[in-house]
Amino acid sequence: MPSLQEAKDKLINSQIWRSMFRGGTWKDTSRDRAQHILGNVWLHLHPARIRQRAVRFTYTWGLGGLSFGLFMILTVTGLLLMFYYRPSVELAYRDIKDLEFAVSLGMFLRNLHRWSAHTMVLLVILHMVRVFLTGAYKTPREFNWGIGVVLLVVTLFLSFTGYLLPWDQLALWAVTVGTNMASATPFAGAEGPFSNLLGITNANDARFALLGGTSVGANTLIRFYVLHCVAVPVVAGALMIVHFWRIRKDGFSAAPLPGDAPEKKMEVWPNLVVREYIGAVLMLVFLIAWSVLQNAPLEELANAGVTPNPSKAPWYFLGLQELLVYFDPWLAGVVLPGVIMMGLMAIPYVDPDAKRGVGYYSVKERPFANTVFLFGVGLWFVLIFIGTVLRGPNWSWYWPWESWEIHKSLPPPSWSLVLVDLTDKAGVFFSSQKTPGLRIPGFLGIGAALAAAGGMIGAYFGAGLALPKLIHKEIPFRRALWVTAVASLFVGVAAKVAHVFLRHHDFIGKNISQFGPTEIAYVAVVLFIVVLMGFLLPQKFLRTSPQSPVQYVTTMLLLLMMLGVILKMGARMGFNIKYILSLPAINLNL
Amino acid sequence: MSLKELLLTRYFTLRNLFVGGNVVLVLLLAAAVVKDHRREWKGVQKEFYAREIKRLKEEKKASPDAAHVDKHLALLRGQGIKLRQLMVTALDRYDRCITCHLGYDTVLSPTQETVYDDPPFKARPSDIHRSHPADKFGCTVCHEGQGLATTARAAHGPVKHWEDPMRKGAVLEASCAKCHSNLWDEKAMPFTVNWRKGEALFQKSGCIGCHQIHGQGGPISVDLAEETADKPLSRIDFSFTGLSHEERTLENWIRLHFVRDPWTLVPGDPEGKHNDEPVPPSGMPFFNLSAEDADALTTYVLALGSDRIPAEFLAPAAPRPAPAYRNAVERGRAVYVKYGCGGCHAPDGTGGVRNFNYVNNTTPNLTKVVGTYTRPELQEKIEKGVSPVDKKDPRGPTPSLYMPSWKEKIKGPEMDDLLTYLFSIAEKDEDW
Repeated sequence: MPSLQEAKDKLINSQIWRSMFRGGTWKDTSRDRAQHILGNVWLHLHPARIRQRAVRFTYTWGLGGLSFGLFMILTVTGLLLMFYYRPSVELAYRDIKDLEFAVSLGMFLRNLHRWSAHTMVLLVILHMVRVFLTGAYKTPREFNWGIGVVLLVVTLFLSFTGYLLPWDQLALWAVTVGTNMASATPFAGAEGPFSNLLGITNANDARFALLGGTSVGANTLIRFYVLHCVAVPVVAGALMIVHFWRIRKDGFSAAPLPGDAPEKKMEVWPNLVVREYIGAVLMLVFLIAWSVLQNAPLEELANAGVTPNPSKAPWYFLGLQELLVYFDPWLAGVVLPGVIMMGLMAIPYVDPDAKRGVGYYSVKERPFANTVFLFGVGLWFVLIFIGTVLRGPNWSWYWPWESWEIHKSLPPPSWSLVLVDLTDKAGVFFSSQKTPGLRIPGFLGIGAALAAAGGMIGAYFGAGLALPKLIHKEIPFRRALWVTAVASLFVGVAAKVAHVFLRHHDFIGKNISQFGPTEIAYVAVVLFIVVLMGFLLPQKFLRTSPQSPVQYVTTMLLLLMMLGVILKMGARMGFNIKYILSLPAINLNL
Repeated sequence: MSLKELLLTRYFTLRNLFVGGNVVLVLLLAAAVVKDHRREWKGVQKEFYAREIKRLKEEKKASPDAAHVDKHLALLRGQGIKLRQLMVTALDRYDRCITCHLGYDTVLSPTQETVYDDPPFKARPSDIHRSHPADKFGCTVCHEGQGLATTARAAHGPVKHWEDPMRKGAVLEASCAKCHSNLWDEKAMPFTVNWRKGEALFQKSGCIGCHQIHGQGGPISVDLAEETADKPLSRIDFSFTGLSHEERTLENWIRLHFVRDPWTLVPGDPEGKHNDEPVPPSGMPFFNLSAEDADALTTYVLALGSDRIPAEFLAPAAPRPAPAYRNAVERGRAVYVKYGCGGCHAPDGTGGVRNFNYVNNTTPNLTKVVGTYTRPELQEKIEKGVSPVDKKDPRGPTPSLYMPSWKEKIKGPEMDDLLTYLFSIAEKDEDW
């Protein structure tokens, strides 16, 4: 009778075992552990050995690995759900009901799929934040950062295409709102600027291509189904392969810090693998508990004739939907997301110092980069929060403790600083639907209006670009903060005084009917943020930075555009100003 | 040792996390399976089989040679716990009601009858069930509710996001109208008593004077057939009803209009606080019906709804005979009812229906004013109408009620008869 150990050795040394698993009896040597990683097709994306710092949980928070883990959970649950789901408008909703009421573990599967998808969107964003804060996007990892940005967009699109499939009211209207933004694309969208010059209608524009029709319908469902189950996952998978491969080739970012002892490496098996496993298990514990406790939403059967008020996009797009309050759809839905994406991808290429602050949380070493990036991420989540929690019927502002059933008055009509009326050939200042504003007819008026609007926008970007470089002297930062705060308040009060004198003019008095402490606060706070972020910070940190002129201009343009969002939010919330320049003849509103 | 070190080296060690994580994961997966496995309807079926087997065994003791008892016992024992449904593809209905209401399962209970009185086991055969066999019609085409659901709450409703909860009591008759167009026919449709009561109330109250049914009727308010009877709940503003979210159904919304003052349900915005222009409250009079009358009228309105019923299900019906009248006054009275004049001028023409911000507060009393017109003058008045009526407070809202132009609707002999009727009820002015 052979002992257990002998039997085990015999099994492991058998031809069948050896043919399946490379390597012989486990001797728990360093070589064995390396071999375990290198000889395993699933694990060989890992290096055999890794620096000790890199396995610290608080360096990566496991975010990238967990995102991939979520992708795997979503693939498995999604595959199982596909057995029960038929993508047609007659059957889809009933199949989802069947998942809840008749299929064994059907509701659990759907919950797990839904909650994993939300979690994945969140973790992918947090992963990007982590990579930024540890400087892990710098040379030689610029390209992989770019791949990561594309993967973020792919993740959002994966979630968005899945949103339609239950074919309920939530799905129909979230997708309607989301895809409406495509119709605002300049040139390619029927509602976008310049599209009328190209003969673009709602039956041949970008939205039509997405929907397979002029509204969300049967064609959209099959399109989104194929995108969600096949096309986008394949793209995501391909990009992930590149993403992981580049991590392996570029080396992990947790490099030895200057002054550290010669680097100590540890075996990936079991040190990293067990940590990854524990991370995955704990995340599954969280998701399964969530799925047991809370059911995924399912509203009424989709009905194109009944529009819910408010209709909201999925939460991760609600920041963009909220931007519609402050910008025209072509800016909020197309240009700004495009700029955000391109801007994110540009980050590694405008960062002048490839060595500084890599491999650790480098807040002190990179104050400008970290402040601006976190400000942007914060703004994104503030907009999402406003759109998700604070917007009720008619997209009015409702505090969480206010009932949506108590009807709010419609907001006062918004107005434009400058309107160019091409049909009547006139330039209009301070124009709203209720008050005609100051109207200057003829080409003189058009010229004056265009010059005024161009001047305002040009002055903002011009001064923003030039001032930090023009003032060479170092400004004492703390004192400057105080001065800015006081000056902003002063400007607010000065505006109030100006309003007292100007309110007798019809177009000022009617458009800005009141100017109280709230309005003064709007002016002061917005001004303070813009001066601090747009002038004081760049003046302090970019003035002496080794950036090339192109890098500097790109950085500042992105920053100024982000602050432009704050400016327009202040203008709209405080004073109902919707546009700086409105040019209805070509659907152009700024 | 700091707390952090203690936590990391003593409790949250890799080994503990590994073991603990796996254990919790397996337990949670088991919990998910158990939760999924324990479904409400399984217990219901178990109880039903237990009761039936006990009852049949006792029956067998009483008469041991009853072969049908053995057969029935064998049938029950062979069933097992499983989901049961009626699949009526022709009506696109998939009803799982019989998963719990086993007494209506055609296999288990061909007679559609049980000895039990408590739901869900109670089952009684009825003439209507006999003429509408479950395997051909399913359940929800008449009873409404969520046929796909397998929990009592979701199946019966009302629950959030399911707009057709079960129709119970009198309003169930509204479903008959889906296929039967002769609910008026007492002989052919003896059961639709409430509907007929509702129709009588509808005509007497003059609802059609303001509302339309498929476009026929007065222009003042909504079309009851095209809009009200199929209204999606999200289009209804329940905020002034005081109904809890559970009670917010179309049926309750319609019924409330008959038992509560419509001004409290649809108060409008008379001072123009939330809108550019002031909005008057509902123009509907306060009928204050009894609960039974309100049920009947609700039944009538719900019956106006549409459902996609295939042609082969529509029941043939004899045309409704035209009523006979003895003289012009009776014919005129019928015209008065047909066009719903009584909605504003009261069934007996005495008026007095309130009209918000109307200069005289209430609608004119025809018995008083008709006498002040000559016949051609009165005809012209009816043909032209009065729209809009004069406001009491010029800054207030336009009154909801006004006299529409009837020129295109009431013509020729109908107009003659109506005028005759109106002059017949007019008080004679003594000075004339």
